[in-house]
Amino acid sequence: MTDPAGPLTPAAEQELMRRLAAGDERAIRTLYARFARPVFGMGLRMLGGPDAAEELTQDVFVAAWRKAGRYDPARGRLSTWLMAIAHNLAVDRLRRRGAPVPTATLEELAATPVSEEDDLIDRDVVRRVLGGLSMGERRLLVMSYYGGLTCREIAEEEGIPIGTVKTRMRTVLIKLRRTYAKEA
Amino acid sequence: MECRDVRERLAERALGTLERDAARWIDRHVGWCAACRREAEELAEGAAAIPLAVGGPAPPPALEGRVVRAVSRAAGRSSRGRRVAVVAAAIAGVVAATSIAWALSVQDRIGVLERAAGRAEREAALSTAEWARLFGFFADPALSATLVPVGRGTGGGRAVVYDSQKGADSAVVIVGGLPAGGRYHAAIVTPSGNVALGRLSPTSPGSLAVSRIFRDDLAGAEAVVVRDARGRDVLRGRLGRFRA
Repeated sequence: MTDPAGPLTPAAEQELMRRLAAGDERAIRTLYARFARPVFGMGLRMLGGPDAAEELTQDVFVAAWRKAGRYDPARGRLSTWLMAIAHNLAVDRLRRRGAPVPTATLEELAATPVSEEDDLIDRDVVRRVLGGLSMGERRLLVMSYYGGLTCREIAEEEGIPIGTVKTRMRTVLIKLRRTYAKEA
Repeated sequence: MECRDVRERLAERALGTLERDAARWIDRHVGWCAACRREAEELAEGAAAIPLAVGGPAPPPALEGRVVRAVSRAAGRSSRGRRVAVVAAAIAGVVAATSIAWALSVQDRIGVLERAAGRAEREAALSTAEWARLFGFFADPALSATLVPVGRGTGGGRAVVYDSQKGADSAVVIVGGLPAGGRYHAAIVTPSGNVALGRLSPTSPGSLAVSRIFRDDLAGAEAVVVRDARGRDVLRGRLGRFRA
């Protein structure tokens, strides 16, 4: 799903980023091989089309190169760092466009292929990772992560207190972290 | 900002839904608070798990090449910029150092300056140690020219042209012994025409210099000329392999 060759050790991640910072082509391709798919997928789901998703993907890897010198494995995994860069860029574009509140469910987003020839995603892993979330929690994820809505906007949209939104957000993320860590 | 206030907003931070100012406050706090930083990292891992778990279709095959080219271009521009800065600093240092040595030699000379190429070569040789130090930075070979007077003129000097294969091309000209008060310009002669180096400026009494970093390629540079305000050649030298 992410690391085609298995997860990297923190030392290997740091070495990869050092080489990326130096503009090493093999490092660029290694990083691309590991993370282009989830980044591209994020772009498709958040920005609505393959052109925008491709542009996002390109910009994410250029941003990764620009920030490579600041990557510190002691502060977290490379996958976390890169997905945060990708997500921040995607949310910026979403907000600039003033996108409407997303109405798709997380499963619908997860199931969205681009064409029939696309590789199947590992639906079992998705089911296990998302399976522990309630309907409300999944909806919250879609609105916040894929829709870029703030807590206040979600609270207003759903008619629930903002404190409840914040607490649920935290719970969802902790669940996801635990479940995904078992799968990865 | 209290830890309790920060922790209340860490999930939003991880999901990227905080306003920019608030996000900056949070980042500053977790920069020094280990406990909040640990929680921030855990929640960020949870957020990253979403796209990693959900995955996505394979991007179009051509995208990889475009990404590699975009990153390589950005890295190449940055590397060139850094190299230009190093070259600029080195040249400034050498011009300052050699001009002082040059000026001293000119001031020490008693009598009228000779026109002989040999004399100009001896004058230029004062700076060769500095030239060698400067171009020790570079892997690619440099070209140099001894500048000798044209016609019945006076003075002499040295020019070095660095034609880099990967970074910035650059050139330095240092001269002395030209009639005082005149305005002089240097140029590099190439097969496709002259490339202006710029106006020579006094660096110390009797000594003039100019240096320039080029964005264009100086491949094929054949000679260096120094001209007066009327465009007449006053010094000229043919470029050859740099000799320290």
